Amino acid sequence: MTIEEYLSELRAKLRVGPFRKRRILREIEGHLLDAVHEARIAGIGRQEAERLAIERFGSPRQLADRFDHGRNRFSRFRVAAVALAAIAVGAAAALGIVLGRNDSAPGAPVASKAVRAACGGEQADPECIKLVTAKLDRMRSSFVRATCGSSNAKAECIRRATDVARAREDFVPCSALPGMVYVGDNTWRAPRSRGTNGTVTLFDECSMSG
Amino acid sequence: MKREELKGHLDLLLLASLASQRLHGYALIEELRRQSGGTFELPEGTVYPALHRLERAGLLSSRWSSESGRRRRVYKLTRNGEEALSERRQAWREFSRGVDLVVQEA
Repeated sequence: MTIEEYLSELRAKLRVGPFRKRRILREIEGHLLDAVHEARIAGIGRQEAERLAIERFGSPRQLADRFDHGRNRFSRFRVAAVALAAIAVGAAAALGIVLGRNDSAPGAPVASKAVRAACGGEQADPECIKLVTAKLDRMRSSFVRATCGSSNAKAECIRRATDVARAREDFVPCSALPGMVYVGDNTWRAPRSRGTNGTVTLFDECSMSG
Repeated sequence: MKREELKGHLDLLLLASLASQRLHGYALIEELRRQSGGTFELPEGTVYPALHRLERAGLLSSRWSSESGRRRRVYKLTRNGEEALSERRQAWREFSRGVDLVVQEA
């Protein structure tokens, strides 16, 4: 397998957003090329140098699984975090219904394109928008706290971390992964089912109500 | 050291290697190998997921850097990373001291 073939296979197996995928592939390519360069200096032929570099690195599937595992742990945290938000939002929505308010009333969250896409696009479900927006806000707050500390946080750190959190494409709830479709009842499902023994991974179905 | 044993300490090793310098992934692996006298031969594919995870946790920051005509992602500790390293070093000292006490031959 050549480095080009390795990266192509890795690209196909990585289950992360496009921005993060590009970064991972560039880093891995740089690493493999450095390894090949060292081997060539040692007198090893190009083909053998590439083979050795790839062998020491691990298979594309193993690498994709390692990135996936790290993301899954974070995704479970996200789902748990939004369960609380969903309860609060659901209660507020119920109160809004009782009081006769609708979702287009002033104060309703302005949904970003990504949020709308996660909630049905043109026919975006208002309840879904509220849940996903609340989840994103909590995730961003957690990131800022983790970066700047929960106390003695300097204003500049908070400002920068907030900017980073807003720009990071991987701050996307499991509901907004490519292919996820909101099927109502606080549930998203991928068109293609994955999992064994009847279990469904977080990439396939996320119940915002936990 | 077996790979499974090494995995449990990978975060500490990565943070410690970045304590006083900025490094990209390839250089980081080489540095670990050098500092450990060849003891730690990390499976190279394990490093990048760990670096990304530590960055997401706010312990590392990174940026692209061009050197020798190639762009590489260079990592460094954040302030939170320095604190985390200090805590984990202390935890390691206590752990290893305890292990030494238990396994030492009479």
